[in-house]
Amino acid sequence: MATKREPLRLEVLVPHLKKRQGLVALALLFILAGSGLELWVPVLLATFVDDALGRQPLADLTQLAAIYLIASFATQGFKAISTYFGTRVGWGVSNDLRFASTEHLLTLDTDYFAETSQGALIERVDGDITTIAKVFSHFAVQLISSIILLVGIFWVLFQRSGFAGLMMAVLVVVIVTFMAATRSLAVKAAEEERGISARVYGFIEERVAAIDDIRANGAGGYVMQRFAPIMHRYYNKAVASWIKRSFIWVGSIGIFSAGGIIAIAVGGWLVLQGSVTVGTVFLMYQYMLKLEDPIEQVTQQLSEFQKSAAGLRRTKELMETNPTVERVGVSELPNGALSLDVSKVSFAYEEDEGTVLNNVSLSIKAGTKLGLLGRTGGGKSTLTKLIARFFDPTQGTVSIGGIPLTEVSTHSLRTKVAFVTQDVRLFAGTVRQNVTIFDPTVPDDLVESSVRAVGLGDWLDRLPNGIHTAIGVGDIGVSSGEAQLLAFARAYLRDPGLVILDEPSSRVDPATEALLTSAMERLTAGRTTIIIAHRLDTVRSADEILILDDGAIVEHGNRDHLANTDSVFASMISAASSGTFRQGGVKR
Amino acid sequence: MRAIRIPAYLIRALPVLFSVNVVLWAVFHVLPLYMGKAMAAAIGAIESGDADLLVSSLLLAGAWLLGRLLFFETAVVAYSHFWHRKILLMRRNLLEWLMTAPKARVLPKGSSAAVTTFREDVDQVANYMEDIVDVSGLVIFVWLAGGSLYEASPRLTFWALLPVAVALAVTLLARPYIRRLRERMRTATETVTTFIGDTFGAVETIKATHREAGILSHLKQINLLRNQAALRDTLLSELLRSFTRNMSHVATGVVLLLGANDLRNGTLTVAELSLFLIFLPRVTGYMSWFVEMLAQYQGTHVSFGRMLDLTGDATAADLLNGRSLGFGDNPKPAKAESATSTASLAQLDVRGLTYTYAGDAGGISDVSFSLPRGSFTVITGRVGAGKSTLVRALLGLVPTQEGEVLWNGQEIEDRTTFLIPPRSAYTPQVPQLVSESLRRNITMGRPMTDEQVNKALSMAVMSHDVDRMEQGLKTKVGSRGIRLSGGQVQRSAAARMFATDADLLVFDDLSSALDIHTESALWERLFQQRADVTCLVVSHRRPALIRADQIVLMSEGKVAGVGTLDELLNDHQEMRALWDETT
Repeated sequence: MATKREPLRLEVLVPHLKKRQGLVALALLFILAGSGLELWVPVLLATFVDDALGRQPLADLTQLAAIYLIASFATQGFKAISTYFGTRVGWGVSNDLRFASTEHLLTLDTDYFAETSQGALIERVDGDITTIAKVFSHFAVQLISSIILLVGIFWVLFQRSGFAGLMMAVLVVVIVTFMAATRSLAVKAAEEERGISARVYGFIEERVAAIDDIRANGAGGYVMQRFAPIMHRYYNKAVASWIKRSFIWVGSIGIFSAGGIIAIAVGGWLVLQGSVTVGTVFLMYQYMLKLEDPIEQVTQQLSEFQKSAAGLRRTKELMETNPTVERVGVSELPNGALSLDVSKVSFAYEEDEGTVLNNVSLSIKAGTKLGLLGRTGGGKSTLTKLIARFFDPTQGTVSIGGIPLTEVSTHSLRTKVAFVTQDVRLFAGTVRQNVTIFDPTVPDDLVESSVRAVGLGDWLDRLPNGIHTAIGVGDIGVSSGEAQLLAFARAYLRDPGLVILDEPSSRVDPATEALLTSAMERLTAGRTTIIIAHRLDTVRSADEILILDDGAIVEHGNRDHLANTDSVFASMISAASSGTFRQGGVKR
Repeated sequence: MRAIRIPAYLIRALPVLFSVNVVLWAVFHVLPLYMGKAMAAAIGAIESGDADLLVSSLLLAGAWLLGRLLFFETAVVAYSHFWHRKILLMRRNLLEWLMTAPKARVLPKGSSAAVTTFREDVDQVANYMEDIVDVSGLVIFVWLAGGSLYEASPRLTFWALLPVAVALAVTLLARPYIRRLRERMRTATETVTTFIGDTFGAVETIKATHREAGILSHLKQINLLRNQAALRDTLLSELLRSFTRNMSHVATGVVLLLGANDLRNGTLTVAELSLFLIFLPRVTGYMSWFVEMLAQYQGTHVSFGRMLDLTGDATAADLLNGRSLGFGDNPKPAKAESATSTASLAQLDVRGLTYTYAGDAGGISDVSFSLPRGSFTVITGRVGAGKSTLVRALLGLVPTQEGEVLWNGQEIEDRTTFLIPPRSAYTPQVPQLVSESLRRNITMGRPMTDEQVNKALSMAVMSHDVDRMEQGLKTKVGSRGIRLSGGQVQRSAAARMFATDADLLVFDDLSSALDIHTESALWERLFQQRADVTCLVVSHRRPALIRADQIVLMSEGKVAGVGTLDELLNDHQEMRALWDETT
């Protein structure tokens, strides 16, 4: 079964198999022993039939029958053991792959995740790779023992009759040719089926996540209406794919059943010629039977195998998707507060789309607290994402601590620059796991003090197992305000020189906000801080104010100075304190 | 609901496909009987040296084989339609129940785990139906083949099949243990799947905090647990499998042991011995298949139970109903459910609403207040005071234990399906968009002109953003709206709500991702355009509080007070504390 064309990207697996040489060898050893015995058992039967017809003593016959029983038991035992080792290899390799692809995915741009739904990613990282595990635990073992059997059968028969051996050899060639010819035939069909099934699950996952939005706005019927064409497409592709693959099944059933008839025909002819015994006919028939079982299994699992070939290809494609942000830096950021320089930065998410930031330059000294204001969509989030290097600017440079970001190592950047994102996501796990994001090296007391520092002390005291209480399953038991505070605790754990808080006050009520503000002051003391805020209260303690609109700087300066002159900032303060509303944004 | 009743429902759903498949597969399974008999006759002819009989028997066997292959191809085509119809029916029914059925719906384990049920549990139930299709053909085969063997030698047949029966009884006893292992394996799989889903949902956070290493080490750990569970499961089921597979060899060995003398003295002919050798593997194989089917039954029961749990209150008949999948239909103009009776809102009363989470201190108890038409009511309170829970309970999104909501003085029977457009519309605290165009996210299938969509966008202060998007309304918002900023998602959701023209608008903390000017503009435009609209707003911001006709102050799941801002500031320390800390 050499790879003829190229759909089977086995090279993805090679390093993982090498790691498990011992297990692979054990599996092979038991496959060999099992197949050897399997070859011998029909020989025993043939001898028995010939001896019985030749009126040999009953005791000899009984002895042969007993050996037959024991040998067939041993065959099955060895098979089970080899499957066990095969499973160990399969799961080991697939865990490696699952790990490697998750690791790789985590290096990709956040943009990649915008284009691929969560359900589809689960299908890639789990569905595809589980199929690979199955192939190893069953298919590989079956395949290897089938090949050993084919060769062995040819050899045993050849010794009894050259013609019988030749017949088997021809059959073997036909089977192998057939399998090689059909193997890649249905790969494409299977891949299509799987691709579209990922779409079905992606659709379902998103809709289920948006269940409240959909139900309370009466859009359930619309969802079902959109689901119908997706189902229809899936149905057509899946049925076509099955029918394509059924030709392989029908072919293999046909070959083996015909093989049994041919074995009897050839055997019968040889007996009538007087060149072999009746026992040999039984032997030939039994050998055909012996082949049928494992190879029927192989064809049954061929569909799994085809899926895995497709899965392997997609895994390889996934591993070859590269982040657009190239992480080439090796420099370390210095300790302590970090200065920030943004020089003539422009940015567009896509080449053909409009720019989100236009020639923005700013410079802030280490230890400064910068309040970032402006209308939603004005470019505040984008600017902070460039500073945190989620993206590289289309033009211009961002430097932190005097070092351009492209020269800073990822590790240094991520530990020295803390970023509290807008969107808080919790994991199904404990408070500890959610705060440390599964880093086991952080001491418990540090986790607990961080949680208390952001004002979740009372909440923590109410939990039955403290920081080891499981939360986040369907977000039950954690309000989004509490989730916001937990996200804040995550940043607390680091000792960053630059802190970026993207709307830290969202979804927190004023009372909790007060707790958060004091915690925030402790976190930002002695550090450079950028706070995106919509509430002027949040930037009360800021040293400088920056107002962005339409991707350009409207105003940047000392807070007290701006507050006391005729500035946009001053007008925002007066609007907020009087509780009146101004139409439109800052520019209108 | 026992799984044994599942087939009856599915048969009723797809009667023609089911019957066609049963017949085709029964024939396919029974044909080897005649082929086997012809082959045994051929072997007998070899021993007796009858060349003519040999040739005619072999030709007959070949004819049976050809027929069987033709049947197989037909049967596969028929089966692929049956299989895909039944899995799509079940998935459609599940999704439809979640999306459209009356009463509150709470996903027991989050959306990632729900997808596992959609995928694996549905497949399990479908596999069980596959067994039902096969079973009649296999029973007929075992019956007929057993009969032929019995005819050849009753004694050998009895002693050959007895150990098989004993072995099957043993595997039956081992079943509960296997089930436990399987369950452990499933739980481990679910843990991994959920974690992977969570991880990809939180990519931004993980990257920002540079915790990739922690994520990966946790993945490694749960992978290992799943690995162990899988190995245990495989080892035991492989041992059992080899045990049951071995049964045909045991049976053959018994025939050889007991038949040696008969064969020697000619009581047992070579043709009859061949019959045993040809039929025993199939007969024992099918017998162990029956046992396997029983095991599948248990698994199906569990899987179907999980499907029912996901829906909360659906019955088997709901999940297995066979309504057309609508493939042939032309896409109809979008239909969004809308309330049939359009008596517009005069007054909404909430009375004694109570909802407690299972195993959690949170929730609300005994909440009452009223909303007159055209009023602006703000629900306020601290984190965890039950504000979001209250609106979700009111809208029927979570199952309340007690209390009622009255629409114009009449109790609403099912709030979930009653409080929808054009009566009511809702923007959740964390709105979810789906990966479609912005326009589709806003209209949700309602027939609307671009002008109407733009009006809704303008009310939501979103026009400026849309103008800047290259694709405008056709912009793909990405999975869960990830291509938009947090504020844009909020405002798109608000536009979605405005687009419904509902009487009652429920905003859960709409302001949280909006700056103060954007929020001001939004309220301003809303009141300009829809003076008579009734608003229920969860908020803690001064602008909303000042504007409120009444404020419902929540504290620890209870109403601490209802009144105007001044009244509450006078009477409640809690309100003063909240107010002092707002801008």
